[in-house]
Amino acid sequence: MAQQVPSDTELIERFSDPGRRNIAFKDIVEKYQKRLYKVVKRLVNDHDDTEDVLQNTFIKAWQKLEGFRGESALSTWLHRIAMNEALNHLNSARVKKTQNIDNQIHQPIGGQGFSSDEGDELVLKLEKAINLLPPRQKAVFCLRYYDEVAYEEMAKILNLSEGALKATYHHAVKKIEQHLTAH
Amino acid sequence: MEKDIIEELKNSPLLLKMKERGPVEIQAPEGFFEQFPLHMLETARSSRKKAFGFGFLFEFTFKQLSPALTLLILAIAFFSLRTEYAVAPVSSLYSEIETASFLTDIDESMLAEFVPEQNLVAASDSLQIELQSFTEDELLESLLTN
Repeated sequence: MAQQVPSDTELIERFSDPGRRNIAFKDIVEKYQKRLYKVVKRLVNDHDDTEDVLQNTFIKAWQKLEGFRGESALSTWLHRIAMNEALNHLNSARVKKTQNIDNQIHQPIGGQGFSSDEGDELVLKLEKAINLLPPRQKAVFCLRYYDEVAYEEMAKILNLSEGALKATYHHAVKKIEQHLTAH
Repeated sequence: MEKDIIEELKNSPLLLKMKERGPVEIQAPEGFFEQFPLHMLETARSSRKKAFGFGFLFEFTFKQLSPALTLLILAIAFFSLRTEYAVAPVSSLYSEIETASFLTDIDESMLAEFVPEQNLVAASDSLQIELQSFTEDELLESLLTN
């Protein structure tokens, strides 16, 4: 029999009880780790960097969850922390990345994860183009294109207006398309 | 949802083609998701212990005790400090003078080059005698004005 996944409300309630806090936190990590891993890995590419960003995300969640007032869904709140951490990481590593750009752009976003099209030239070209985008454009593009997040939700995650997000996505698509046709 | 995304990509044939091929799998190293929650719990708990060390006073005083008890502790601390300063004995004033002279940055060996050692001892003794000859009020006034 499949184990029932506890609801967010239940997890938050359990977390506020000091006696059940540790188990509730472990359940929160188990529930959201795969989703957040995917989102962060698409942005930062490297597994170790992804692990660092995820770790910072969950530590912040542990420290702030007691004061979480439920103004947004737990998943939105966690995504927001994760995206902020990933963007901070990208911005702080930006100088290093531009020095090391060749390594970065040839590292596939999916790591070992291309199920059937490994080595596909078009996939590599697309990833190269995505990696050339500025961090915020890259975040908007990945959330929309790969994770299919609605603009309304994305606005809460990235703290931007829906109009700004649509414009950013449009610019990112144009840049990628140009890169794909030029190379 | 997906229809919207495809609609948005109608001017980007290559991106549309890629999108229609399906999602690109993201994989973590084997066993990562089994280990990560336990590792994370340990890390979060140790981060809390550190924070607790620094924030002990805040945690204990303001979160664990009732506000009334907190106010009582603060009031006792405040009045005991006030009392200590209000009725400071003369002996404590001497120690303050000693501390002050220690902090004035005069190197004794430098002084000894100009003044013989026995004269320094004598000078120090006469200063003690001079200080003791002051009344508390005089000494306090002198300290306040200087």
